[in-house]
Amino acid sequence: MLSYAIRRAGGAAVVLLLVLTMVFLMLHAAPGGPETAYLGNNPTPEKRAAVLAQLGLDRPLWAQYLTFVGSILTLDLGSSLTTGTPVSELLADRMLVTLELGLVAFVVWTAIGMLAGALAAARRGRALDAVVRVGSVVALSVPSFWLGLILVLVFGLYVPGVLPSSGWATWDEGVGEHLRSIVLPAFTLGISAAGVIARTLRTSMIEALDADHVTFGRSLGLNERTILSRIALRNAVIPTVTVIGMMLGTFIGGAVLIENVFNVPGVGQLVVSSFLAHDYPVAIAATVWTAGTFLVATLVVDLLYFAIDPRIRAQFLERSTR
Amino acid sequence: MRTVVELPAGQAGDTGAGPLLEVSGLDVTYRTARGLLPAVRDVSFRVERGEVFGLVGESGSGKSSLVTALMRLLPRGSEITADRLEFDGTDLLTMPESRMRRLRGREIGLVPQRPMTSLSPVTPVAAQLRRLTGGEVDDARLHELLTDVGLGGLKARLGDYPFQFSGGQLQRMLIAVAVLAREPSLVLADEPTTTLDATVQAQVLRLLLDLRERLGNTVLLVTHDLGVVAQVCDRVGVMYGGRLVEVAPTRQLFEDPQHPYTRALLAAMPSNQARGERLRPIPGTVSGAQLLPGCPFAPRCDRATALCWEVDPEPTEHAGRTVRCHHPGSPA
Repeated sequence: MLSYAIRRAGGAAVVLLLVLTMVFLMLHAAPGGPETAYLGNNPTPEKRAAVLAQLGLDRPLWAQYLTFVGSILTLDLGSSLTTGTPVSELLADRMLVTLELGLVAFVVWTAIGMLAGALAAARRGRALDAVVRVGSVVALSVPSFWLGLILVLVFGLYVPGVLPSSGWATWDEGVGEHLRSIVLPAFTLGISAAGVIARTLRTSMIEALDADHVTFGRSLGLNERTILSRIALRNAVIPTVTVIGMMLGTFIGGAVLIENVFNVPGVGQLVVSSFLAHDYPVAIAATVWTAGTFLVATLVVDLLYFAIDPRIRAQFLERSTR
Repeated sequence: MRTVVELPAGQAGDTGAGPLLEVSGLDVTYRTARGLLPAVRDVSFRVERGEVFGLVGESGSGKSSLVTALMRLLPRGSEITADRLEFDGTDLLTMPESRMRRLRGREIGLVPQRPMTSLSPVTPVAAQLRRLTGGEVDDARLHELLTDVGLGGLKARLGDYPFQFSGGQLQRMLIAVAVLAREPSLVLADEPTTTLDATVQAQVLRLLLDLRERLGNTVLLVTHDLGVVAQVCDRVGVMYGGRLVEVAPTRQLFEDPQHPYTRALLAAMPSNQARGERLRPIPGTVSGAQLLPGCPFAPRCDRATALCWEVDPEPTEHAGRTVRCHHPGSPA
């Protein structure tokens, strides 16, 4: 298990470096640069050159890239080119907000999605199944930014005062206020994922219920409850774990649209502002977070597979002893 | 390999009166995207207490559907109707599902066709075998059961998963929980050796018969292997196109087949032909036979007349057995 984890982590590190290199190149290929923030309108070429030299942006691209890789390896993220605040400080606050929002949405919606999917499969062809099937399609096909805007409109204008439609209350502002401010962004963030999870689990549950071993269990008089919860679900959850892992990555990576619609001060909002300002260090750091969370989520899924699917475990052991 | 087991029929386990299983006018229909598909049509037979009743026929002839219907375990969208479907004098068709569930495993046991996929792949076998016997079995009893089916050497491996065992080992485990653990009076064996290696087939069959001798149960053995039927069955039913076309004591069936399909089937057996002679396959295919209005075998039958194409023959008593044919009889 440990060597499996180390091997997977090594692979993840390589992917992360590739992602960072691409972000670096794309930022530099984009027109404009961070110097515009320092220079007013109509700057003289001399002034521009001075600022570029000060920021280290006049050096050849490969030299900048080496510095960049070096700073990543030493975990020195530098400071914001626009405000001068250390990037680590800037990111830390926003990470916490994004993490909390993402985890709340993830836990609640995954639970709802799995429950809906499992119940639909158990009641296949009946009313509840139809409700879940229609409901999940609606949930996954409604664009989140549109839903977000509608919710802002409803709770901001038509029924004001029920739930805050914008902004993020910290814990210091009161637990109740804080939790109330999470409701709408978390609802909007997770609803489509719940639809996907419900559908995936329903399909694999139905497949699992058709398996030979389920028929054999029934032939020995096992009750439907045991069949569903102990046998079919245990088998059906394996393909669903992949989907859930991907969701986890997108949830805690920073939801760009949701955070901007609801004005949540998370990483997603930081990504937008830093890219618009060509604030290279901040943009890079935010990207590291987003890509990193995705890789960690994938890694967690692989390790989970290892834990729940004995066939994968056996395959790995077989390969490593050869 | 040719070990004939002579067991007195109707002796072991003979406690009640009447047949253990009585089926009359059984129909099984699947509802498919392209309409209703009859899988079993108007099937009637009895299984006497203590006997081994063989059910033979090609793939698609309705054997497995029939067995699954007896357990009331057909997939959704299928329908069972019958004039009579009685097990040990009790009507299975009208029995509430909760009672039917108590019957499964306790009174009627099923030995499945594909042992490799008949245990869940993600749970260790010991936990599954315990669960499958209703959770009443402790480690000592489980080990005892496995020793009785010839798996005593596996004690240390019970925490392993199904894919780490061979098909023969798995089938023995399934037999231990389905036949031995709760000793059901009727064992439905649905092609129990089809997916196993030839050498293992004989061993698994031997095990089923040894257990039957010991426990005195009744066996309904589904197979397409006539050699197995000749060796172990007291009586045989031959299925074709969803119909039971001939039911006879084994010896009579082999010595003097009355239905043209039975004759063709026996003629196609390698052992019934002189060395060097070509095998005689039955021309045509079974596909679609259950949809015909007349006799399902008419398209492939050398005796077929206009009547056979139009009218499905009723089962009749002929030469000491039940035959479903307009022109039954011994070969000319």
